[in-house]
Amino acid sequence: MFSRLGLSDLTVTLKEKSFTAIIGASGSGKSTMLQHLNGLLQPAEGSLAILNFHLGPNTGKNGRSERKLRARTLAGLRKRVGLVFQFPEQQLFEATVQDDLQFGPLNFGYSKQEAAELARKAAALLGLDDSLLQRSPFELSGGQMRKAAIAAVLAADPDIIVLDEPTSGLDQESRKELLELLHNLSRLQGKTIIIVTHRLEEVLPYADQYVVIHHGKAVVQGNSGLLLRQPELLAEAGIVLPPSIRLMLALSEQFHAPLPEEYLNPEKAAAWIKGLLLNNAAMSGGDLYAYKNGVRAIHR
Amino acid sequence: MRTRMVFGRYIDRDSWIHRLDPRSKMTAMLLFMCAIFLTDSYAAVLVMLTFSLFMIKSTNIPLSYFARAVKPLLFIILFIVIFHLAFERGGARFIDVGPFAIYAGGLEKGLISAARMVIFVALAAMISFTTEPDRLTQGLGSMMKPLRAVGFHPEKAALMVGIALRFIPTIFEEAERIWKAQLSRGLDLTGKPLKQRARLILSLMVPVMAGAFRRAIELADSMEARGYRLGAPRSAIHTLSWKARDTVFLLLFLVPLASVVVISIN
Ligand SMILES: Nc1ncnc2c1ncn2[C@@H]1O[C@H](COP(=O)(O)OP(=O)(O)OP(=O)(O)O)[C@@H](O)[C@H]1O
Ligand SMILES: [Mg+2]
Repeated sequence: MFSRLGLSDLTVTLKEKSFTAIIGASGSGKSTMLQHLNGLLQPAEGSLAILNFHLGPNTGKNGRSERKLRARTLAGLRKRVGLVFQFPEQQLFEATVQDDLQFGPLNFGYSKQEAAELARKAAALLGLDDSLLQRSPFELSGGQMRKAAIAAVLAADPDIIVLDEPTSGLDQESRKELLELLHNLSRLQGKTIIIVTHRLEEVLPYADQYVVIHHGKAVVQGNSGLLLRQPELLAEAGIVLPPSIRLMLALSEQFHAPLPEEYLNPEKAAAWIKGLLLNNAAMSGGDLYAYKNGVRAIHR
Repeated sequence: MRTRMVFGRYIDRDSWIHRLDPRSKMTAMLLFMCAIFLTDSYAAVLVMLTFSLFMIKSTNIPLSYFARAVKPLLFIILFIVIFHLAFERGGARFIDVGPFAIYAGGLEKGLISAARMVIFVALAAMISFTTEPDRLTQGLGSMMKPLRAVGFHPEKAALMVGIALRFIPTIFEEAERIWKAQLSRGLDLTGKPLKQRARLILSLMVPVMAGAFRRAIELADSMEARGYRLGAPRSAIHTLSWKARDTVFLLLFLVPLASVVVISIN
């Protein structure tokens, strides 16, 4: 019925235990891709291989045994891949936040007590107050709802955590806390984090892998260095680089110096700039004038 | 989901039935209902069936849409047929099936009941297929105007019906959304006993209903935010106008009614 393809020719290979950021303009197919990761959507052509699960194309005409196998694969897959939806109000459905947080653990075979404990832990992890647990998820504020939706996925302790724009609707502080939480999960507990965001600057300090989606295709795939080396491609994909990155690009052009191998945090960036300036001063014969010129160039 | 649920949907095609006044279509439906009630023989069914097919053909909407509107009722229809077959003892003895016997009378009654149901649902679907929900409610409100004298608010009732119709697909979408959210967090029906499966599917109804109420409240808020007041007079962008073709359409429905009456008397 629909002749339009959501994704076509999309090939992505993601490393386990890594922190991957998926970026792309609105409507580029990010959410569509994420929904494939736990089998909510299934490819019409091509196949998915996640952990040791394999999903071939779903033609809708599969036989009975094949359908059974597929259902078993999906059940296993969903236990290990948790998906946080783009809109939390689309994800929550139970009468109380507590029930919602327990839903996953109960389905995955935990006892009632274990599930309640997992729910409480996940809520604490996200900084959700205990008093909110007995409320209806729809009585929460937008940001609280977002946190509840994330907690509901974390409660089931999946190995791969997939989040669709989890920071939108959160205040600055919570945003930073969430990203640090995710970073720690990947660093300390070996979780694989896959996150969609519209704010490149917020993931740059944490992500070690990037995928840029444009018109349903992955146009860039690699670390931050590779990403920043292709500003034209990014511009074409509708991604605006954050000011700090634009400054680095401009500096590297001004000083005819190569870009750093990877994203630099503010301290490292300052050191890199200092290096550029000193190098430049040395090249022009230790001339203090040239050094000042360099500083002016930065301010321009 | 979108393609599965067709009843209550408007299907945009160009046909003279689409352009009719909704009041004419609704009145015609009342006449048709009377005719359906009087249908009690194969001959009458034949008349009704021919007439319905003619009407369906005139809508320029493929027959498959009507088939899909009837499909959800298949179970009930089957039940009715079997009920008649099992318990009606009129007419000649037909076939013996174990301890049961099927009589010609039972078969006739069963088939006629089934046909009546299918024909009526198909024609009712025709109204929803060919009339935009807004016009349908407008027509309904206009037809109920005389009831104002007894303290009834036709606008309110029409609005209610309109919103109810509008909400049918929304509720299905809501159900699909919650289903997806539950699947994604490990809901798994395969390999579960039938009883447990039924319980899980039923438990889907609670959040769906809660969601419907939430949406209803949001809708009320957004209507009030845009100036809607209960009971205040409202104007309509398109006013209803009764044309000659509406009268012709209505008169056409007298044909099956008259034929069925004649067949029934003979
Ligand atoms: N249920 C649907 N039916 C048909 N087309 C859809 C559906 N959902 C999304 N699309 C289309 O698929 C394309 C990709 O949508 P998707 O939601 O994956 O975008 P996205 O990259 O997540 O965008 P955003 O950043 O706005 O969330 C869009 O063009 C969209 O219109
Ligand atoms: Mg999206």
